[in-house]
This record gives sequence, structure tokens and C-alpha cells, in this order.
Amino acid sequence: MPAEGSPDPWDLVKLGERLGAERLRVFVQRRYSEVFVLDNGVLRQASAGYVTGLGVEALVEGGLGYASTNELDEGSVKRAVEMAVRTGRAVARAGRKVRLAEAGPFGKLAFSSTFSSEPADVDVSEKVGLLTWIYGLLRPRGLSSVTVSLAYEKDERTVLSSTGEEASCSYRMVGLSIGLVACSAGSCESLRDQRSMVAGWEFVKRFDWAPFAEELAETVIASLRAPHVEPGRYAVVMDNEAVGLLIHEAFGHASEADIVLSGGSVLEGLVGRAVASELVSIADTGVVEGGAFLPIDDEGTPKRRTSIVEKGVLRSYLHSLRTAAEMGTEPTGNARAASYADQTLVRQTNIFVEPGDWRPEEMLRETKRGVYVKGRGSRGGEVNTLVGSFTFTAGPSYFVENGEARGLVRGVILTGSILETLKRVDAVGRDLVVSTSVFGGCGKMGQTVRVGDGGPHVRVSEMVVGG
Amino acid sequence: MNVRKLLSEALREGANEAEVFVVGFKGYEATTTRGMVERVSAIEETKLGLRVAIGKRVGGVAISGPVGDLGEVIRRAISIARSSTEDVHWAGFAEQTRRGPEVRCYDKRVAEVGPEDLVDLHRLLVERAREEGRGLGKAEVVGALTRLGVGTVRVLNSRGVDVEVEYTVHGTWLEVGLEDSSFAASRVSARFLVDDVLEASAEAVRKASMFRKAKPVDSGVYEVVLAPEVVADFLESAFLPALSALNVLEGRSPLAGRVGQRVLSELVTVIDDPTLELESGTRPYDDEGVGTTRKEPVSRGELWGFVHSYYTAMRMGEEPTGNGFRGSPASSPMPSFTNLVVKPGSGRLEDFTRDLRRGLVVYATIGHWTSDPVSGRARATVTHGLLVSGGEVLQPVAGVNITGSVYDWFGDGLVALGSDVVTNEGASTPSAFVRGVRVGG
Repeated sequence: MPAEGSPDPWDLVKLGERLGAERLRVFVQRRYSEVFVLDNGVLRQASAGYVTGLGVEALVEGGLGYASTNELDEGSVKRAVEMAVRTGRAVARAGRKVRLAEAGPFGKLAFSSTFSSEPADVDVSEKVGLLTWIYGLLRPRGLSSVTVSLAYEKDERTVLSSTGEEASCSYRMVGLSIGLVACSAGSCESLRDQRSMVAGWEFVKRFDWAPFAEELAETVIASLRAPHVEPGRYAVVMDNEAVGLLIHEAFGHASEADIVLSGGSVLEGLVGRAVASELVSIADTGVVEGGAFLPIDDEGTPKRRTSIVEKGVLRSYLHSLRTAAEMGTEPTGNARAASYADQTLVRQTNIFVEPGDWRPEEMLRETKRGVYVKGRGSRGGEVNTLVGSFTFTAGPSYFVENGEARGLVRGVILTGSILETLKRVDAVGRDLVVSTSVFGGCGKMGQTVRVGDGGPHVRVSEMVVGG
Repeated sequence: MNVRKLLSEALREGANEAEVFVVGFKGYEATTTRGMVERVSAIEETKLGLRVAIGKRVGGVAISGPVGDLGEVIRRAISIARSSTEDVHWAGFAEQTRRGPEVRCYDKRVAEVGPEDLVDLHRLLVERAREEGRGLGKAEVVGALTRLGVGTVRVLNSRGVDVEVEYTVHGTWLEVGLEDSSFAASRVSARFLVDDVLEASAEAVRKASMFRKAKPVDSGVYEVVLAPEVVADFLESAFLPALSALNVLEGRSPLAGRVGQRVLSELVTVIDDPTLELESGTRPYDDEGVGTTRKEPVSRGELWGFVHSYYTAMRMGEEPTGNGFRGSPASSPMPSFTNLVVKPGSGRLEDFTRDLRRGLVVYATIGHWTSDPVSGRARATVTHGLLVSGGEVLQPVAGVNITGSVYDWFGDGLVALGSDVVTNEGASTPSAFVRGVRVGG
């Protein structure tokens, strides 16, 4: 898929080889997006975005260089190729020489997510009308602030490699987010939730937004009266969303092979060793119901289902072509870039805990004292893979005593250890749910990419909880 | 791209008002892992945003890449505006109410750096770390990232605003491993000084040596000394958004209606300063073309005002403060700080540490950005801390979380602010000695 008006990308591959690149990758991206934000009934933002750009990665004498441009005239793209070769040579001179594994041979691959109603064709007035209707439902609740947002993106990427492969992927993702603030007697609480899907407008039309909005409002109002959880160590039952956050932060990043090779992961050298309870199996896969659509990565490698942990034993890291070559293993299709302007990093795709056989209600019934952690309203998490600590927040959650949810608690933050927390998993549910978001994603070295995460309900026998 | 033509065509096609915002960046990025430079990349891109108003309906289009059919872009923006709902508070795009101050936000040393220089810089910072580690243990730069270059912003609108700003950006972030410990440091500003970056590398090694065999501590309520960088983190995430006039107007700030009241300790003065020499947030104009100003929203604990975009200033009947900044080219400018400055007090982190009867000294955290400025709830997990009793360090600490109200921490719970200011990443803050911090361990 050449960008309009620019040279054929295959000519750029040949140019790079003529300039001395032993491997060359050309990455072309087109992205269309829309954002509408209704802020207390006022349309704060209504805009459409168009992105077109091209990136070139060159392996020159073992040094990896990269250059990008969104000026797509012949002169600019040729300069990008020349700069990619120049930066590769600069690394070869004084930096690390690397090898790249081969993703193929697979010839030409093309993937496209499915949809039935193109969101870009839906009139703006219908989109704004939906936001206004939801605002109208919530306005009588006496909330201090109601923000309703709609976002849509269509992302098309094509990767051409000097090894002869060409891979392209296109997806549409749409979502709606509601952010609420409730105040009473000088105290305020906020709560935000969203639903996104790799789909077209049909998802927005079919989803029942009224109960979604109303339940969120009830929860934020109730949380005003809730105490903060007393800091300490608790048994923790996590819902699907919270499990997704847990696994993404607690394990996902530490299993990214570029972090492992840098010496920055506590999982280094542990393949084949027990790192979690034998109830825990963790997978990372490119396409799964409810998740992001990532059948290929941004090096053009088909994304395979990667079993990271199998019954508690670390089986694999997540790889790019570079890390796979260095570790002498197969690439897994996890090299991703936020956009054409970025070099690839090893990233998760859709990561989740495989289901077990507990029912969530059984898990709660058999918890003497703990916290039922709800992921809705979480503000996210972070990990330090070298120290081995991770953290994430939860939304309004429940204190559990003698098997019953006793009352709402707020302000929950969880702290754990990459090497210890998953060993304390003593129950894994059967109710797998994976979700994604068009409003955010995972951040690493300044790049944000869309991801999916989730799992069934899980219980951890002890975790540090703050509030 | 002839932006004046774009503006005039937008008006010709039916917009009552129009605004064009162009942002460009040209620079390089280098990555080092495990002591060796691994990748270098060159970045060059220009993004354009067109916003139009038809009456009080506003719509926008952002473009990164070839514009193609200019007319189509304009018609799309106008179509979005026509289909939008009216904002009764819309007062138009910004007027140029004043000239921006004379500031220094461009360092030609940044503009002169090429990819080969970045490779050399990273080689030097790796060597510096190893040198500093001699006698302490095997020190290695586990990861380092430098991103630098020249940015440009141009804003023009149908009300006569036409400003252009050129600025430089330099950020180096690195993490050093030392035996079984580690520490991260950064240098982020508009300036580029090799010695400064090398000192960051050495500093990370010295700090890493303090946190070997870190363990959690018992849960409880503690006195806590926060390092200057941690003070910046918590104020930026749990407090500053409450000073946004938009959040005040839209029911998302606990400071609404409290101008003239004491909201923090009288030890605290919070300044928004766009004039600091060669710092990240230093600018003469904001993203609407309004001249920036130095201001003290909080003076000795008392709230004096908020930071404004043009829209919020008009809505509140106040002077624009030059704080309207955008996340993307066609988005509405939102009020946010330029550079955060907290006026220093007296004493240093080491003095406060000696004064701790039983408490923690927190040097680094993860997750501080999950703090909630609506409720004022500050929270994070400590990755690099020290447990102190009777002024003596008992053990390094990691794996605990700290929570509390930012209004308590920097209000009645504030014992002292230090004089040991650290200026980095657009914030200039001292250490703080705080009582009543909840610790989960």
C-alpha cells in the first residue's frame, strides 16, 4: 500500500540495499481518527485526524538505524532512506552489532478486521446525539461533572522487507467513555469507564449504554460514602479487568525480551523455572474476542499465540526479530511501534490468564478476609522490571469478610512483586474476558500502543493493598 | 503549506472564524541497552490542525502527512462544526492581548547534535557509570534513551494572532544496575550539556548503592521525607490539575470557590514560570498565541487564582494567562502549567532524615501518576526508599505503597520544605518533610 504521491516503497527497499543496508524494512502507516468529547453538555472537542507517514529501518554492518518522515515527496522519502543508513552506520561504528531473525518466508500477507457499518460514514450529528442522550440520562443525578466521549480509529499498516515479504494489516476500533465526578460535603470522587471494540458502528448501536452509564453513576455516588481501605496485606479476589492489569504489569513487561536482554528484567534466566502457582498459565495472542487486532507485528511477523507461562513455569519471552536472533529462538510477532515515526520495541499484544475451573462466587465465598478488587475505574499501573515491583490502582472495590462483600472501599492501590505475587495465586476462575481500549493503551519508552488484557477472576492469597 | 492561504480559504468556504496550528519536530533518538548503543533513529515530522467556528459551533481537522486536497480538508472541518452543538460560552479564538516575554527556549547546542554525537554521548555515559561504580560494585547502564531536537510551533487565526516559536528539546533517561540494586535518573530540559548528562549517570550509580537488599516495612502511618523529584511527581499529578480553570468551571476541582482561602500550608508557594532559562516548559507564547506570564496561583498556602486558556479566561471574566496548551493539533487548548516552581524553604533532605523519629525517606516511586486530582488522593508504590529510626537508616525499602491526601501532605501535615531544589523535566522543587502518610506494607 504505497502512500499517495510517493515513490513505490519497493524502490526504497532497493535504494537502501544500494546504499549498503544488508536488511531494510519500510513501514507505511495511514490512520484516520475521530474524537468527540461532550463536557457537561458542551461539545469540548469535535475533530477528525489524518496521519500518513513512512519509516525506514536499516541494518548496516550490524548496526540498526531508523528514520521517518511524513513528507512523502520523492526527495523526502529518499532522504529518510539515506538517514536510516547513516544512523545504522553510526551504531555499527561504536555500538552493538545485531542480527535479525527471518520472519518468513511467507510472501504476501494481508489482514483486515471485520465490521459491518463504517463509523466514518455516520453523520457527526448522530454521534453527538448519542453523547447528548447519555448526558441527558445522567444529568438528573446531581453529579458535579459528566464527560462523555466517543472515539474511532482506522489504522492501516504495511511492512515491506528486503527479504521479500510484504505484510499489511488494517483494523477499525470504536469506543465510548464516561467520566463522572460526584461531590458531597466537601469531598469529591471521580470514576471513569469505557467500552471499546474492534468493530464498526454496529458495536455502538448494539451496546446498551443506559445501564452502563447508570451503574457507573450509582457507583461513583456510593463511593463518596465509602471508607478508604486500611493499608495492609489481604487476600485479594480480582475481577477480569483487574486481572488484566495485574498480568500486564506483573508479568507482561518483564517478559518482553528486549528488557530481558538489557539486563532489566527479574525474569532473566528463568525460562523453565517455576515463577507462578501451577494454577497460572499466561498467553499472549494477536487476535482474541474483545481484544486488540494484531495478527502481524510492525516488522511484518505473523503473531503466534505465545505461551509465556504454562502451569506456573516460564516457557517463553515475547520477541522481535532482533531478540529472537540473539536468543536463538523463533520470533513471536511482538515487535510494535506506536506509529511510523517510532522504532519497534517488544510489546505485548493481548495478554491474559488462561481460565481455570473456579466460579467467581465460590472464590468469594471461600475468602475469610480480603478485598474484592474491581478493575472498573482503575487509572492504570506501572512496573519497575529491574527492582521487580509492580503497582496498579482499582476502582471502588469491596471489603470481604467471611465470604461476603461487606461494603465498598475506595482509593485502592495494589503493590506486588513480579517473582512472588503470582506464586500466591490459589484460585483461577473459568470466566475469561479480554478487553481493549481506543482511549489509551500501554506506554513504554514514550510510545503508547493499543493492547488487550484480561483473564478470569483470580484470587491471590496475599497482596499489599493501600488506600 | 501556505497556512495563510488555508486560513483565508476556510473563511471563504463559510467559517466565521478559523485557527491554524502547525507543530514540527526534527531530531534524533538513541537507545542503549546493557552498556552498548543499540539503535539510533532520525525523526522529522510536521503536523497541522485547522479549527473553524460557525457561530458558536466549533470543529477541527488534524493532519500529519501530505495535505492533498486543501478544499476537502476545509470542508471536512466546516462540516464537523456545522454538525456540532453550540457552546454558549464560546468567545472566539484568542486575541493577541499582549506580547510574550523574552525567554530563552532554544539552545543551539541541541540543534548541532548529529546521530554520531548521540552514539558518542551514550558511550561516555556508560563509561561514566562504570567509573563511578569502581569500589561500589559492577555498575552497568541497563537502559538509556536520549531524544533531542528542534521543535517549532506556529499559530495564526482570523483574529490577527500570528506567532511562531522555535524551541529545543533534550531528554536523557537512564537506568543503572549495580549488583542487586538499581536507580533511574534523567535530564530533561531545552539545554544540552554533556557534563550534565554524565553527572546523571554517576548520580544513578551513587543512588543505586543506597538501596541494596530492599524490603517492605510494616503498614502504618509514618513520617515521610520526599525527595525533590518525588515532590514534583505528587504535586503535578494530585494537585496541579485542580488549578486548571477548566476543571474549576466543570466541577472537577476541589479548589472551586476557594480563591482567597488557605488551601495548603503557609510554607508552600506554587509558581507557574514560563521564563526559566532553557527549561522544558519555557515558552513566550502558549498554543493559542497568547503571551505567557509568570504567576503565583498559591502564595504562602493561599489560593490566588487559576491557570487559564483563552476560553476559560473569557468565561470567568479574567485576563488570559497564556496557559492554553494542546495535546494534538486540532484539539481545544487546555489550561496547564508551563514550568512548576515551588519556593524553597530551609534545610535539606539529609537534615530531615536525621530528624525522623521513625519514618521513610522516599527517593523514587512508580504509579504516582495514578493519583486523583479530583479527590486530592496521592498514591504510589515506593521502589527506592529508606527506613529511618532515630535519625539512623535501618534498611532500604521497596514494595510498599504510600497514600494520603495531597492537601494534608502539603497542608497541616507539612513539617518543612527544603532549600535543596532540583530543577528537571519542567519542575523546580525542593524536598519535603511530611507527617501522616499511610503506608501499606
